[in-house]
Amino acid sequence: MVKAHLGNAFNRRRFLGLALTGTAGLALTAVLAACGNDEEASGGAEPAPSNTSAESDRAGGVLKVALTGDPPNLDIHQTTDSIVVLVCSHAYETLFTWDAEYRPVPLLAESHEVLDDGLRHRVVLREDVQFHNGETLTAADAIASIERWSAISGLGEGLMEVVEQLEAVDERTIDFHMIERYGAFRTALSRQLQGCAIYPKSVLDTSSGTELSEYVGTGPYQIVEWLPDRHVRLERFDNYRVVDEPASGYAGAKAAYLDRIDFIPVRNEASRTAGMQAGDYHYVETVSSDQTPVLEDASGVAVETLPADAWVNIVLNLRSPILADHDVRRALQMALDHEEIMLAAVGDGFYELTPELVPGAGAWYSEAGIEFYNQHDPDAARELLASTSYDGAPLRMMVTQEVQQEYNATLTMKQQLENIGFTIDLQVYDGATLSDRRDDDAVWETYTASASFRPDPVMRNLTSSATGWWENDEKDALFAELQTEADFDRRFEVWEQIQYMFYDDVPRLKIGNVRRLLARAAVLEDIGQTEMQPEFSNAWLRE
Amino acid sequence: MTAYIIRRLLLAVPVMLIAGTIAFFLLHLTPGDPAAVMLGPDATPEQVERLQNDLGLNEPLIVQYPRWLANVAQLDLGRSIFLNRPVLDAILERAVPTLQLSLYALIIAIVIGVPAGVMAVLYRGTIFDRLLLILALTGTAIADFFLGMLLILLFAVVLNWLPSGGYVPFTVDPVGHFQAMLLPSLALGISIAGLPARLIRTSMLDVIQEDYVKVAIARGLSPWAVTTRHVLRNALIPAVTVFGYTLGDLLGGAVVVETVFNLPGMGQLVVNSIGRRDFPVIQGVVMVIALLYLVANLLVDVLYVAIDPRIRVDRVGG
Amino acid sequence: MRAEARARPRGWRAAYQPDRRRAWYVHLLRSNVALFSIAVVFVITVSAICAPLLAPYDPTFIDPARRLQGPSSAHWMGTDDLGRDVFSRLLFGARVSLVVGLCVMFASAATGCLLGVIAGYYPRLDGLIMRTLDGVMAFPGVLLAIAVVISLGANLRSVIIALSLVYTPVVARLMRGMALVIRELPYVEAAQAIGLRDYQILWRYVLANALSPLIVQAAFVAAYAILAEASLSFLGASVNPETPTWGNMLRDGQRLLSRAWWMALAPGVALFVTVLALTLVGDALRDAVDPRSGERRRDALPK
Repeated sequence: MVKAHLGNAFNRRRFLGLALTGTAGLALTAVLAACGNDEEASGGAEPAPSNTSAESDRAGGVLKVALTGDPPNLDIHQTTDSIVVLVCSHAYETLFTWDAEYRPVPLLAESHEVLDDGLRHRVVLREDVQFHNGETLTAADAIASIERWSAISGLGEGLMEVVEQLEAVDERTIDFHMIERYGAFRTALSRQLQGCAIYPKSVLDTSSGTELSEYVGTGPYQIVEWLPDRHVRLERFDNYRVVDEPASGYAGAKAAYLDRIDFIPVRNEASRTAGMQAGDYHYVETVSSDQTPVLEDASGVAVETLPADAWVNIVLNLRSPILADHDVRRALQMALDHEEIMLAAVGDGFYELTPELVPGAGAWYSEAGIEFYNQHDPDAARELLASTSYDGAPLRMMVTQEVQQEYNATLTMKQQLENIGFTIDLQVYDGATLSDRRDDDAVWETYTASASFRPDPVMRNLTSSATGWWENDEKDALFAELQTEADFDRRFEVWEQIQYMFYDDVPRLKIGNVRRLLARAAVLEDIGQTEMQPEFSNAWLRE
Repeated sequence: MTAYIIRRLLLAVPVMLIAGTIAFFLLHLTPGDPAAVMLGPDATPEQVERLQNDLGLNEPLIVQYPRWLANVAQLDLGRSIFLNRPVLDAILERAVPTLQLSLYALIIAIVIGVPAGVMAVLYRGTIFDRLLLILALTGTAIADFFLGMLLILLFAVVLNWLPSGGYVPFTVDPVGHFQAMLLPSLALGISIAGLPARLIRTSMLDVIQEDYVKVAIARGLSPWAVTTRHVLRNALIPAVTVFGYTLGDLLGGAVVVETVFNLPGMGQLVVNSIGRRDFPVIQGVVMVIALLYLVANLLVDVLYVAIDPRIRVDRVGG
Repeated sequence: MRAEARARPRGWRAAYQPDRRRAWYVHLLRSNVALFSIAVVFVITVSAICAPLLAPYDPTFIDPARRLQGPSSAHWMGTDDLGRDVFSRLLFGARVSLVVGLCVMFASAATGCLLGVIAGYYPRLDGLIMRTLDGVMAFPGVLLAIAVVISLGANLRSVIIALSLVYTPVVARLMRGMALVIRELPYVEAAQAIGLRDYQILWRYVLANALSPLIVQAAFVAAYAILAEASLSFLGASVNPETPTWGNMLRDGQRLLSRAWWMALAPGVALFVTVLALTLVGDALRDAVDPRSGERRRDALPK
């Protein structure tokens, strides 16, 4: 337990160390982190070291977690909505997952070998892993799951494009016969949004591509009840096969101290905050940083400002006649005062203005393209805009009010852009309308979104088919290399080039990193990593 | 009478169909589709389109509408896109909290509203009359979500007497049930209490004109006896029936209150379903609420006729 | 008003009508509560009209450096989470809220009146019109409004259309009832007998006589529409949230109620006072126009 904490601490401290050393390897990181880095003093308090009470004292209790809404389904393959990861990661497991350093390590896999010069990956499953329905995990289950996942998810599709054949060598061994080398193999099969959860083949046989017939996995908790709008109830799975490694990040041993976890959807933010204040919930999925003083004053609530792991992302539509002009995009990039936008979005102390595109994954920190970032030069922007053919046609900016920080950021940006001569048509939609409209390249110029944590840049969706349609052959070639290359140093070089192109080409605007507010009941301990949503598999409730 | 009831029930069918059809077209014409919601924020347009095809959402409305109609005719409301269960099951699950909330709110509204109305009549013309009415109207004039938040802050956060939200079924824990339902019922009850107060007042003032009241006064009965035995009793009938027509308002208020207090009722179901474009659920809820509304209206009309023989059945209720 | 004067019935009713008409506003003005309520509505209306003169700041000007500041001499009612001045937004918000109230009132009164009177007067159209309106009415109001706003877009026009749709059947029902009763009255039969056209009868007799209850109903519709706009804002289906409306302000305010109470207090109180005043005006109107209310005043209960 103590060890897990240290890992966590390293991870958080690590990243500025890396910021200083640029392309440093992980070994160096650990050294730097160990030397201590006081520069991150503004970081939230580290969780207090676990007390020394005996393991058995920790067992028991019901954890209540307030969600921002109902999960759209309980199928990890199906959605990029992070709420599903928060709920379902306790019940479903992936072949690989992330340790405290965000390295992909085996979870359901026991071993992974790269054979035939990278053209064959052999994955051996752990022995005697049981599903919640009593079946034992076999290669057939894994293959059925991978096949379904790759038919649904973009990442899976990408992987299967280079896989010639999946072969069940024996009960526990799968061979991936590759067409070409694929360096991001483990990364693709790790825990993530729309990740490759392993379901039993028997369940998949009766399920469709859109709906699971049963919620069965191998995780330390099993889904026993889903009453939409009321709760998703998980109970401890007594036959969970514990990994024989110390807990680290999302990997290693999972003690499953809690008897039960109730995930309760509470859509109204004020009601969530009030429930936290009143002690009705132990953990709240998302709290606005504006509620900090309120929650700090509440007794029994521990508040922590997390290190930055997400960023405010303005997606530009490169197919729009206005924004197809590179100079117009440049003018837009030049005009913005990122400081003011972030202040309006999340408030003082909850943002960082750095150019890296995978905050939280410190190993990938790069300042490539920093000269284009946060220029805040409205005069030059006005001049540049005047030199283009922009004729005052309205820039249609879409945003939803359902995510307050995106809404506040967009409104501030609108004011700044109007100052340099843009005409803005702000269009506020509900979430469903926005996600529909953004697929139509004819109806918008920008929309605002949050770019959430990615442990590896290959998972950052900047392909030409992603909304915004950043079509650039050079970039696509670099991305392909990022996927196939296995060597970190080479991958880092490639990523730096992509990041530079991101700022040079201006397909999107990174405004600033968001440091989320974490609010939990003071009695809740050891919630582990938070970047990809916490997992409560080692969490326990103090008496 | 039986023929009348049957005729009214038959008339309910086209009304429900109209409500369902409005829902069908209004919703299918709104932008947004369930596939995009289901796939989450990072899905690509291709993925969305694939799921749309799998869910059969890309078929033209001209195909979808008759099929929906045919299913409804067989009392099949379809299957929810998100909830992994038939629409009817989802609705039945949520109907209980909503009906409980409405019932408790109604009781609270009557407990507050009726005495206020009666007192206003007894002190007619004095400042007390006005004050009571204004007091009863106070709740009506506050936005119910604001009132709800104030109640939560006071009773759940500051005093810590009651839970801030959530639902506990009566069968699981009766005490917990009433603790959980008290604040939402209060919020909804207070916000509609002005209505019974005003209805009772108006209706009592009408009854006071009647000869039998004058006779009762002439017989030397005390004002209290006249009020309770003659006036209030007779005034209640029209008041109750008019109140019956406002069940729709109650459901509307329930939508907001359920969101604030996080009650898994029909209001939340339908608001959430609009948010994720779960068309079958929205259509189903609309039809069920329409049915409830029509049945309630019919009951009120029948009650009205049964109580007051002067009214002919074919003259009431449109 | 002039058209209405022309439409006033002649004959024996002509002698009776002016008295009653004078009577209701005399009653109205005699009631202190009504007078006070009218004064409140008047003050709010004037400050809404004069908002650009009275407001110290641009209500949409964003100043993140000043966000979430409490009331001070620079910002009387504090600032919101984008650093906008709450007092200025309150004044401009009054405009939108009143426009919503008024437009919905006129739209639903006009449409409801037309449909109701036609349904009541022509039995053959009654079934069709009333069943359709029942269908709309049976459709839960809030949901209808949300669906309409989402499909037409979040702007003032769609909110007004949505709420008018919700309140039209209410007015129509009332007017149909009135028309049914008035149609049977002897003077309408007489008018038919002397060969007046339908539209003349509808205008001169039916509508003129149904006017009083219509006015009363309209006052309530205005009050409820203003309140309903707030509920729609809360449910995320109202006017573009950038626009200051009391509903939008209250929605933002309740979100941060324990953090920045001033954000909710101002619009909450404004909304409350306005709706209460409008309801009281409606109540007073009802008392004033009800022909029986004169008797009532004389016939108070024995004490």
